[in-house]
Amino acid sequence: MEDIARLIVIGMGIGCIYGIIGLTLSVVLSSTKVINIAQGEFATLGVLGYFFAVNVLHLAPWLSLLITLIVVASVGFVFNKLVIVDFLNSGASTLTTIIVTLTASFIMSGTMGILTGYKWLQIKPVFGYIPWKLGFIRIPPQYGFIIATTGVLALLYWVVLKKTNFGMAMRAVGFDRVSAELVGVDSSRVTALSVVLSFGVAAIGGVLIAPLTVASASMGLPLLIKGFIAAVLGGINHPFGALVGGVIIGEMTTFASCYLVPGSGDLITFILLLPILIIRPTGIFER
Amino acid sequence: MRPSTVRPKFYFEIVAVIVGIVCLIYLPSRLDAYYLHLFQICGIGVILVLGLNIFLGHCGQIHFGVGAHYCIGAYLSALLILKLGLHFFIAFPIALLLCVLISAVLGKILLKLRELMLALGTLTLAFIVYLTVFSVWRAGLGGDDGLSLPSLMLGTHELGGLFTWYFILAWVIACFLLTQYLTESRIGRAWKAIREDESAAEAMGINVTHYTNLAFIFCGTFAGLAGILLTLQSRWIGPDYFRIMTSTWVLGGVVIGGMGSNFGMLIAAPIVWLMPEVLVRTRDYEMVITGVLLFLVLRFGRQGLWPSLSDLIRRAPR
Repeated sequence: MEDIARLIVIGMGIGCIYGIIGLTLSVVLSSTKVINIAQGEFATLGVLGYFFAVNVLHLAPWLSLLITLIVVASVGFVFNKLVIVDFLNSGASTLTTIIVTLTASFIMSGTMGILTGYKWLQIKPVFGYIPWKLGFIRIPPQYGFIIATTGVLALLYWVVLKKTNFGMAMRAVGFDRVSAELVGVDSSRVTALSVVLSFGVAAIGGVLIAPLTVASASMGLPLLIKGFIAAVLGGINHPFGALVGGVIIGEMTTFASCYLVPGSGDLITFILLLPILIIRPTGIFER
Repeated sequence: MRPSTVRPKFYFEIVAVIVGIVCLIYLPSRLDAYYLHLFQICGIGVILVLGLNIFLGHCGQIHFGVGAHYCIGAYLSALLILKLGLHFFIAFPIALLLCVLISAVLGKILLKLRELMLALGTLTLAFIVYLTVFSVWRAGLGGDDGLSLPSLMLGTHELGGLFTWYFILAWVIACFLLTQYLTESRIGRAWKAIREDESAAEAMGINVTHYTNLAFIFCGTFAGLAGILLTLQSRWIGPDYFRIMTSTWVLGGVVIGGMGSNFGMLIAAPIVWLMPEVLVRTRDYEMVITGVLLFLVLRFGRQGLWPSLSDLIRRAPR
């Protein structure tokens, strides 16, 4: 019983990260109409920046995270200008956007690979390794931390989206860009800001999952694919669909690896994904 | 009438054919094993890229999982040879036929999806095949160690690398001519219409499902053929050949050559397939160089190498 409860927590923790990546993907998609394959690389960039700040400069975790976010935001602004605004301004086909962002992902991942020599970036969990006691179950602290952080991020996203002017502008631009401009929304600024914010959130996701996996410069693409699946599963146009989709995938992967063939978690996910894609191509939450 | 404008082109073609014969038929017989190996892998690369070009370039659909068909073809022929003890020349047509059937079934399932979802679905296919080979079905497929095949014999005579190259070359030429023929036929025009606008094509009376399925089958069969030829060429197959990156290289080849241009594929495949060989010392830089190359092609020659080159030649003063 305790094992199952712990597995549920672990699956949820991993799933939350996939959900975060998927959520940022759908934010970028709704505001720019671009599926950004390079989204995973911003998670890697976050890990790289955090690793450098903590292990080389020996800074405190919160200060390292701040520095990381500044780095990610500045790279994100350049990316937004070079790739999304200059290259993919409205009208490019899905095929072109996928290939262009894939190329950008190659360049980013390759550069980070050269900088780190494709080594394992070992990051210590912030709350150490001693399990937290929650009633009768004991959970590894990093998973609990991930779930709590995801909850806070989701709440923040909801508040920004529904309660602020910026959120309203974001929704308006996602709904219809031209109409939004007609009523006085500075659409290019709104897009740039939401894209850079999504990169920052992806970086936080990367930093959170880094202690649990073998983090290296090539971790971006696999992470992105999981996030993409999470977003599709929950419905890519649904604001919180990705989080639910991510948790479903996380639980499936964890339980399949544990109770079926070891190491088969990913395969099970992919095999289950195909029928879902074909029966409900718009995700489980959309009508 | 200006007959002088016809002549240079005529000479150009004769020179091209002679250079082609010398480079592709005579030269390999003088080269050592390593360079012959390079010729062989480029030939296989050309078939892969030609196949994807049909689906992606001519028909305008997204396919991220060409590596899956490549893998299926290779493992099918290897299993037929090892488990059933068939001779390569008997296993070859059987494996090819199975590839056609598998592509037809996969196409029926996957092409219910469109655009973004098709991209994800095909990527999923690539992952399923890769993970099956790599980790799940270790006992039958050898896992990391792969499968080793006996050398190819005809009677008591061993057929060497040069024969393999001519065999691959024959298939490359056959595939190229077939693609060229298809492109200019009724089917090719239907594909072009679908690429430009699916609903318009449907309104003109073109059966979109039928023709995209057909393009998918050709794409899968070409990739399967490339996989079968790989078992002949390398005598060893393992999951290393069929990583997710393989599908990405093929995609990169199609983009570099120019989507929808058959001649472009003949240039692009050697570029993409030789790059890892040239960069073997600088493996770390492989990704950045590929990325920058693709980015430059996309930024400055959106149509790809061959269309840009032939534009230059056409515009050049005579």
